[in-house]
Amino acid sequence: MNRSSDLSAYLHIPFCERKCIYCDFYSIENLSLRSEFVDVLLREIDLKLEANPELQNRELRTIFFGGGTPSLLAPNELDRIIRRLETHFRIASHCEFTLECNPGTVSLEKLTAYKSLGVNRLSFGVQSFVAEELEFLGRIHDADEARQAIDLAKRAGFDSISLDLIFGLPSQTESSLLFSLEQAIALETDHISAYNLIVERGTPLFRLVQLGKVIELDNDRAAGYYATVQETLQAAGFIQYEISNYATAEQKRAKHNLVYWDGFKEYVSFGPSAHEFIGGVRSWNVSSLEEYGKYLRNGTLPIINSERLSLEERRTEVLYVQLRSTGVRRTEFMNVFAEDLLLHPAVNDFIDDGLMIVNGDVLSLTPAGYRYCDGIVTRLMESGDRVPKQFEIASIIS
Amino acid sequence: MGLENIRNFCIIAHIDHGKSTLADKLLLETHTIEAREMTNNQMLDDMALEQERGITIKLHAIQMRYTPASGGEYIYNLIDTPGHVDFTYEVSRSLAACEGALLVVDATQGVEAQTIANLFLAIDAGLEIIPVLNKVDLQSAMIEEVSHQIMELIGCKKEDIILASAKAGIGIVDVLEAVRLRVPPPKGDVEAPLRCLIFDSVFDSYRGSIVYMRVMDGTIKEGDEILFMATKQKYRVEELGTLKMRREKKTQLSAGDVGYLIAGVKDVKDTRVGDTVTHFRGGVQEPISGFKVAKPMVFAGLYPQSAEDFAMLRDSLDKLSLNDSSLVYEPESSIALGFGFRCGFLGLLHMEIIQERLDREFDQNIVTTVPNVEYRVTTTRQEEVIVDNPSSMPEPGKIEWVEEPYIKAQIIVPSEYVGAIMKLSNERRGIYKTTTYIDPTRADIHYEFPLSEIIFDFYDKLKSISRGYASLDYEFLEYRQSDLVKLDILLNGDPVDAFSTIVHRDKAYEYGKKLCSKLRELIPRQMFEVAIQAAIGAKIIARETVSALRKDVTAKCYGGDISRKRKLLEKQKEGKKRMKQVGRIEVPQEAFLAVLQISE
Repeated sequence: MNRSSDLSAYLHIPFCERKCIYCDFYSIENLSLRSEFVDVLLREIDLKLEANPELQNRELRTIFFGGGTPSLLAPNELDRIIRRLETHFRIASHCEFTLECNPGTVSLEKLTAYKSLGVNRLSFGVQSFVAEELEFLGRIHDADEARQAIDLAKRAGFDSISLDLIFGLPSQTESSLLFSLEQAIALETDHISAYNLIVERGTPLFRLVQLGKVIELDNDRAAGYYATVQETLQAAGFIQYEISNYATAEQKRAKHNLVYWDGFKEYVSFGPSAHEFIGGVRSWNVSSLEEYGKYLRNGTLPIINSERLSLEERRTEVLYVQLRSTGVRRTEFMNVFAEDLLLHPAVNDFIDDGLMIVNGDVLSLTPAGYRYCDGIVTRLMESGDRVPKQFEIASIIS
Repeated sequence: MGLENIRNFCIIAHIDHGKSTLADKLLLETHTIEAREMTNNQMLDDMALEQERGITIKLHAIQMRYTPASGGEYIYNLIDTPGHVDFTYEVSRSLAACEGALLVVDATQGVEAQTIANLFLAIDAGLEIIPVLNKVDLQSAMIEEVSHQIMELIGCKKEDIILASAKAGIGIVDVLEAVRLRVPPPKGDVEAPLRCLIFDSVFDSYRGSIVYMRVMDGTIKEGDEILFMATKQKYRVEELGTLKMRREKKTQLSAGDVGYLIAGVKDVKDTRVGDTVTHFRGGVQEPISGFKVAKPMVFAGLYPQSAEDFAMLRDSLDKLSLNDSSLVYEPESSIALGFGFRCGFLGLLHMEIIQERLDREFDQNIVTTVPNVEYRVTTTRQEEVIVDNPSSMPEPGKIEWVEEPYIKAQIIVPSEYVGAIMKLSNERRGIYKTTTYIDPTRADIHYEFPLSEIIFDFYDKLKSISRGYASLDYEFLEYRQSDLVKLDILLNGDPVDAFSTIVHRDKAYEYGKKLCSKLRELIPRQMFEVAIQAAIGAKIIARETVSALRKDVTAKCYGGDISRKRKLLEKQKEGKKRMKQVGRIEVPQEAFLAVLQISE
């Protein structure tokens, strides 16, 4: 791993006006702690650089403000954070700088200010254009506000705009899904993320399902919806480059997220619950703003846990993240894991079935293959080499 | 002490009729063991598995010193016997080492089939039978009826029956006295050439095979050169002695004695139950009659879960067979399951025991194929082929006829269940022979069955339709010609050899249909459709389909999700270890025993 190479930065802004029932990201609804949070966040940036001087002056190629709801940050708060990043890192001239927005929290003025601070990509959590679905999910905005927000973003000069959709809602029908897709397409953004709803443990939705008050959509129907999403977006000119992500062109893909799906690239992170990956070690911060503040006021980093990956664990992760996005780079894989994936007996079966495809050096999933990503990866976790050969066993017997 | 003061006896009883409790009380009464040493478990069962099943799987023997109130001192050797039908031969060898037997019958249950079978073995062996009616203190005891059953069976007088309750300590001294007064002392000539009967052997990792035996004639001493007559192996006696709670070393054993022998034998297969031990020089020419090598009746393939564990499975089987000379196995390979072993067992219980011990004692994950019997196939070229694995059955066109083993079965059941038993027996191709009544309420039914029909779940069925009252005993009869066909199961068009079975033609369709539908339940959905077909030769007789899984993917995976997701994948991979990859299809290991779960 080239330690002096590009770096990405993730900053977690843990505030929401109201938590959505399905969301398991860390956030709190007490917005009054915001400016205090920015203070300790700056502290974390300083401390992290003190503890890892080798990060100093590395070039940030992507910056991502996620949450929570980063668009709750006032422009001056965002400004303070950016200034602090700039004191430690070089920021690349074409750095992708994304900020997640809730359509219910933006104005032209705010977005224009974000733009002037260097933000060049907005990701809107729209989720649906159907009123009942938005209400079910606990969103604070309606469909019109979502349309307006994207219009405002364009007027503020943003040309990289993504919007998120959620499908597979318990009440969703094929036609309500198609309606949301058409509405999203009509807004002419260059990027759409469409996620199959996951009922995550610990969320209010999880409890509702457990209590039997909400009945999860069955997997077969969800599979049908997924195919609908894939086909509809493809027909509208979007190219799928990850299980849930679609862009109108290669340069419109989310570069920051591609770092996660690279498996080798490094990212540094700040804010409660944020995960980073540097030098083969993944570490993550405590998921509590209170604890996070305590650590930092005591002058220690709020890292609650970390793991150094074994070669086998890295192999699993590389397979998983690369296959779910743009595919495994075979030569690189061979150099690191000493294994030609094309010799794996299962790979050839998957290619024959049209679930995988080889394109030059890259082995990737086809749109049909994306539907079976988890199953395919578990199959490939059994390394091809370890499948015993017949003659070896024959010699054991004799 | 002379022969007149020795008594060698055993206990014949059905499971749960109180054999172990009675044995424990005899040990206490004779101070062989003190109450404080007694745990909650009966002393004679020392394998955890035996205790759980409540069945004495392997034989043991123990010596007691009995001092009757009337004076004198006696040595009592109690030889334990296994109570299950799979082990009839072992029982017969234990009986041959005794002069008397306690027939223990539960007064609340009455006489059961296995008890009768073993009782007849004992009578045939010329043993003095002492009937003991146990659990007489219970409210539900049917002392009159069961006494009549016993009198009817052995032709004794009512006053010959000892009323006892092992649990409550009633009748224990009466039993000890009856052994003294009614069981004849052993015959035998201390001066004659040596003849010892092996009735058991166990493997000790430090000492090798430990032989349990009865000296019939002669005297055996430490250092003697001895010969195991059946296996023709020569050894030198390292140690011998009697069996108390622990082994008690002696310098010699003589005619009439029961004890143990250690001679540095590395393999229990050299110390076969029923074999005769004599002196290498000046020994007898004729062994004690009745020896046979216990022949496996039931066969199944045992395969390691994952191919790399093959060597481990072989080691485990090697170790198990050290203690179990009736376990036979040889390597075989299956297209579906890879490399494993074809194992022969005395019966289905024996097979279950081996499976459980592999799992518990050796931590082996194994896939077991459906058990089958051994067939004799005569080909069109008039050659006889022995088939112990359905996949090695010759093609239909090359078969002249097939013979399968038949057994003679005895079922004892309260008369109200006779109809149900007969119905079940007909379904299992049973041939009705006779019914006699032990008493007005209990029928003794005799049938002949193809062994293959009773090895799966016949015993369980028998129990469930008779609310637990029916009991079964059987013995091998002969090979008979039957109209048998090989039924294959195909997954996506490819035959899976491990699923092949040999069935009677009349049952093949029904069976094929049920097996396909059971497999459809058991095989999880895959990324592609799975067609399950049953076929006889090239003819498809049943089909089921497992539809394809339509999606197996997690929608979100960003920086914070990767670690958690990896751990989840690792778990899923772990879960897959319970699956066997058959071609491209993942088949759970239960599926290989699906046939056992097919309900009638």
